[in-house]
Amino acid sequence: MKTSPFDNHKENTWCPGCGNFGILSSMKAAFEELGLAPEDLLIVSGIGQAAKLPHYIHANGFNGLHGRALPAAFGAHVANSKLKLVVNTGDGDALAEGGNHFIHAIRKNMDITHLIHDNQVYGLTKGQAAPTTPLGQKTTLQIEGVRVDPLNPVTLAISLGCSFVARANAGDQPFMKEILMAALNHRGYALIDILQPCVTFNKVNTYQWFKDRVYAVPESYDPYDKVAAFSESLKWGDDGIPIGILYKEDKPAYYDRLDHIKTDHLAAVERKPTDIQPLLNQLKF
Amino acid sequence: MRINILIGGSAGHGINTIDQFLTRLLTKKGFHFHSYKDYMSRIRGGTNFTHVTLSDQPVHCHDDALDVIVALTSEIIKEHYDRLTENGLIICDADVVLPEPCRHQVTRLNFKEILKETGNTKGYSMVALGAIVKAIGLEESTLNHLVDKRWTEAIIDANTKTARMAYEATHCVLISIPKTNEDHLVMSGNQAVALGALAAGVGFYSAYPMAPSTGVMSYLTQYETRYPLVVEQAEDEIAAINSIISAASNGLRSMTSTSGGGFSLMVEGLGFAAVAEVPVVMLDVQRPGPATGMATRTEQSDLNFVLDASQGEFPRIILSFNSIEDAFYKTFRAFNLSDKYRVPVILLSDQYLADSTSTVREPDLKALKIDLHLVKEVREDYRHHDLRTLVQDRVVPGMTSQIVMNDSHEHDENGSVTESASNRAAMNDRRMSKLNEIIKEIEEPRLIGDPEAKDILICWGSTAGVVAAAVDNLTGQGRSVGALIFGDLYPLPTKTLTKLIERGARLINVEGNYQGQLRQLISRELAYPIHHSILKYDGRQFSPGYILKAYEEMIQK
Repeated sequence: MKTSPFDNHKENTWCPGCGNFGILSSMKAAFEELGLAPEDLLIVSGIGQAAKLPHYIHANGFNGLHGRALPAAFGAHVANSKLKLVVNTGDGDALAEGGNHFIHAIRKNMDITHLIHDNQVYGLTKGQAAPTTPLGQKTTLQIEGVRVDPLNPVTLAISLGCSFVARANAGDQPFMKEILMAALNHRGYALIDILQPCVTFNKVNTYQWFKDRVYAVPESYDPYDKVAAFSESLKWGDDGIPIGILYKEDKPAYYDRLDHIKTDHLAAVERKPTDIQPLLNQLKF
Repeated sequence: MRINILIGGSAGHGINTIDQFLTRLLTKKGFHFHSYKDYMSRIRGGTNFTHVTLSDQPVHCHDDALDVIVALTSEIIKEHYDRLTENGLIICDADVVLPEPCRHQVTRLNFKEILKETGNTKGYSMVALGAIVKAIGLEESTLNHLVDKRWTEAIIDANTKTARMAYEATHCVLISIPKTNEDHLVMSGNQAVALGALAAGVGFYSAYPMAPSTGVMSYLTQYETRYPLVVEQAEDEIAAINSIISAASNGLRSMTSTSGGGFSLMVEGLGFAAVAEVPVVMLDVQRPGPATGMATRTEQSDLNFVLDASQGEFPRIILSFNSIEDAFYKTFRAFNLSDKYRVPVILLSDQYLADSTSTVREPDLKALKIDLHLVKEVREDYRHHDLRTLVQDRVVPGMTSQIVMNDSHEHDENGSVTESASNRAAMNDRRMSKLNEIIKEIEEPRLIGDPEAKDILICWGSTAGVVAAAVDNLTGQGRSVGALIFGDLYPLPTKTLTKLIERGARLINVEGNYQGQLRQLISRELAYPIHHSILKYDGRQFSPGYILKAYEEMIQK
């Protein structure tokens, strides 16, 4: 088997056949092709099966609290914007426990790549519904079927003006790697919703199910047309599921909005207590 | 010698402006002062007042008795007239109703008439200022200092003219006021925290607005460009704590502040910082709880909460502020402690201290030293959670080519998830044992008054100033009493306390809460019961008189 500078040979606890393996491989391949080194990267996650990923890759890692990966990515970005930040969350981590942060993180347009491992089910807690589970689908907890409408992360992100919105299929690694590289090269918030089969708990949305339905958006597709992108993002199921870069918007990234920060590594700025003498002088009357 | 001035009216009367300029003028004249604001959680109407205590000595609390009441509404007289001393003065607007008969000197000014005559319709506060300056016996030229960089020449002229007219029209003057001529700084409790954090090199500050803590963020945001600093209003307190943990894990000094409600949302993050051994500084500006409680009132009821907040067991440091000056130094010190031991430091302030302003001795910045405890070069034998030592410098991403893992699970020495029983026990030992090192740097409580007295009052946080004033009062009466003032609270310093217990002192805890939470902590740590308490939990700060009265009642029982 081919080796990568990002291998770390730790024991992996994902189920055999899990879609996460494909995501991990594509990620390592994309990093390598972009010439990134382990120390250039910070892999951030919350809690869930997807969130174990930082432990399975040789790079800086931050495995925080459930739902809080995006605020963590923000803090890291403020401290050191030179780090290539890659956030790995599941659908529950990003959209349920972390739903509020998802909305507000997109508003900041910080320079990160955010992968939602979207398997439409909760794996770590054994099979309950995720925010992306279809209406009526039966789960280990929703035994009569899900009663609430699913959330479409791509549509939501487009409506919020996320500056890069894509979808990939974990069953198609070469395509996923291309999307990942485009996302990593994007300055701003790059979201990739990854259709990821859960071989243990989701018997509906399988590799084959996705393979029969996904289609890449055509070359003529204009990702800068917000209304068309919104409309395209709504397609799902037997009508076909679009993959590829669905939406792009040119806008300043978070650091570009900080006119007053003249460094890309705020944590490295030398500071001394005597720096505040002018402020003390202002308090004399 | 202390002079107490209470200035009150409705929200929108410019009470804050009066306070701001009066305290500037007092500082200019070399007085020490303490000023606290009592305001309702509303933008217009209601009853607001500011209480300024001036002296030739540093002041840390207000007194019960008033020497001057400036009343812009009748409610102020109704609420505070009984506190006016025999020789006290009243300055009031034309329509304010006074008690009949009124046995005090009164200057009744027609605010509207004065403003009409000077054409300065918005100068309500200037009338009050002119009158106060006269009443406390300062020369008319003091009013020349009524300037502000936001004002045009025309506004300065109109304001000075208005204040002078009020000065001329005021005929009552206090007989004696202290004389002094010292230079000092003026800051509020919240400003002191912000300055302490800036001196410590804070580079990231994230919080969600919540009274009475917001002032820290408002102050810092003005100086974002100068330091350089990122101040971000988070979408909620959960985001605030998680983003500062992450920024700190990347080597940037980071801080958040909130009140009890917001701290409740930060609790899981607190435990995360501790298990990941990431240094963070969290400020809780206490207000009465639970839930929404009273937004603009004060209490000391979060000690139990922050002592035990978050699941599991982990080390933490809790420091409380005894004065505004102390808030500056404690905040600075919190960062060094947090970085050295890689533990969260919780700072306890309260509404009374946060919203008070006072004169402060200028800090000697050259005497302060920032110590980040970061690894600056690759260390082959580096372990992120090294079981061979308790205190270690840490690697952060991007400072060297060394990579590092920060994790919220139980982890091994390199931050990898593990459920190993022996590792779990060893990691828990490592974290908890830090308390044995930290205690060596914890400051003992300050013993004031008569150290050999039978009765020793015990207090913490902002109650320190009031207790000290009460002890001064009793000492002045020739009575023997002492007080033990706690700033550092956890790990609890016990040396001085143990000596007092051994010599059989009668301990009396004075706290702004119902349960006597420091008393409970002492009982928990030393298994020593304190049987006498003076407690207050009505949302208002103690006054020295309140403590004296409660003390007299207690000793007579």
